[in-house]
Amino acid sequence: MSRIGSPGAVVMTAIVGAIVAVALFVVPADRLQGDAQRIMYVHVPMAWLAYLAFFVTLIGSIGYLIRRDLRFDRLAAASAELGLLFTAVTIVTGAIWGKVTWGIWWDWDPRLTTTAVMLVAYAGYNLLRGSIVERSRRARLAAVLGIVGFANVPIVHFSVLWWRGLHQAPTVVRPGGSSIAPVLGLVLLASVVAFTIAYVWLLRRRMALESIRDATRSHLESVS
Amino acid sequence: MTLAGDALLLAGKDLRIEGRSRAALAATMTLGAAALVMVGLAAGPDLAQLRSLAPALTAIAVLFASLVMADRLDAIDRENQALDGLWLCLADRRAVYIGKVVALTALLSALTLALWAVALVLLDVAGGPALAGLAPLVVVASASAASATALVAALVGSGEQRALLLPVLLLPMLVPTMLASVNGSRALIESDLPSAVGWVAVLAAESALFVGLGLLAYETVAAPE
Repeated sequence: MSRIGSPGAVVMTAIVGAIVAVALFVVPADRLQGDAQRIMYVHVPMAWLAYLAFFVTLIGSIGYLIRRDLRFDRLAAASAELGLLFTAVTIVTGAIWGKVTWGIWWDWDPRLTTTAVMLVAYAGYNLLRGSIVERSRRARLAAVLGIVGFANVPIVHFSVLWWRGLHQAPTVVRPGGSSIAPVLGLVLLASVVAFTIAYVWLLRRRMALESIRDATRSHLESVS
Repeated sequence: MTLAGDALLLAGKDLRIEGRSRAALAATMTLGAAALVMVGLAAGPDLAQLRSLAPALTAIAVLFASLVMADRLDAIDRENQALDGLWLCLADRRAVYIGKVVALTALLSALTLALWAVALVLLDVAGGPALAGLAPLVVVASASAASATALVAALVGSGEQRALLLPVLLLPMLVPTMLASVNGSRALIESDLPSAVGWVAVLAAESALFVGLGLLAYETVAAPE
């Protein structure tokens, strides 16, 4: 298992740090929004990673229900925790961006509201996990919730197309091609890749921690 | 016995218990009415504002009262390990879920209609003949809420954090039901019947979705601890 100061951690921090530095100081500011638009290089990757993390939770949940292998449960649990973190960061960075561009921290816009509902749903997932001591029961119930909870993801993603609101429609992946300036799009893509690498690293560490917990629990049970 | 026969038998059992004790309906009705009085006081004496907020305020009162209702109904089966017995003797255990949905739909419908009667008076809602459409809307909305509630109540089990987990897991699931129910009742108050029928159809689709999900997942989540 890698440690905080391990080469992997250093490389991961360097990649994310370099991309954030490029986004803050190198890439030109947006013509209309100015420097406020730079928050996009964190906001968009966080939103994408929240989707990815909850998709991995879905895969882990299905895997557990089919195979009854705790490794799938660890994958689902670790990814759901990270997804919750990414969703929270998405909401916070979105609120800051909204205050600058819309003049308000929060609006009852479909995208914002459905994202908040998704946050509460996955907070519930983590609460459920924490409330059940018996290992296989926890894994079984969390797996069902991990599958049901994923229904939030397409609702959040397509909310900007299904209902009219303040939040802009997709600008990168959309019919008719991307409408973002090539340089900004390239930095955004690099930022998404960098944060995804960070997600994979954190996911592996969190799974390893859960594995140690399970081993410790099994050992204590066998001793007692 | 068939799945439907078992389910109706179990729903009848729950309704008979409630009919004799009236514990859940009395408690939830009192809670819902108190909630309506409190939100009325909090919103202030502006009748025009209260009238426009009536569908939303009533939906919130129903939502919180229904949490108590679901908790009470589920507790019947968990007391004295009654669920263990049901689990052993039923050929198709999904009958427990369907029975719970039927009983909960009946009780939630009664509760919601009673709370709407309170809201019509307290919040000064003046509706035309279209308000008669409130009954079918309430029944379909109750079926939608009941089908999600019965599944989540089984999921959270009887752990010590049940009081926290039930609302945290259930409320996000009930957002579509709440929105369709508020919009449907608002349409009825404004005598916009075609729009109300559309919202009833949305609620029916949500019910079908939740029942399908419940039938798939109930045995996995409700197996006795």
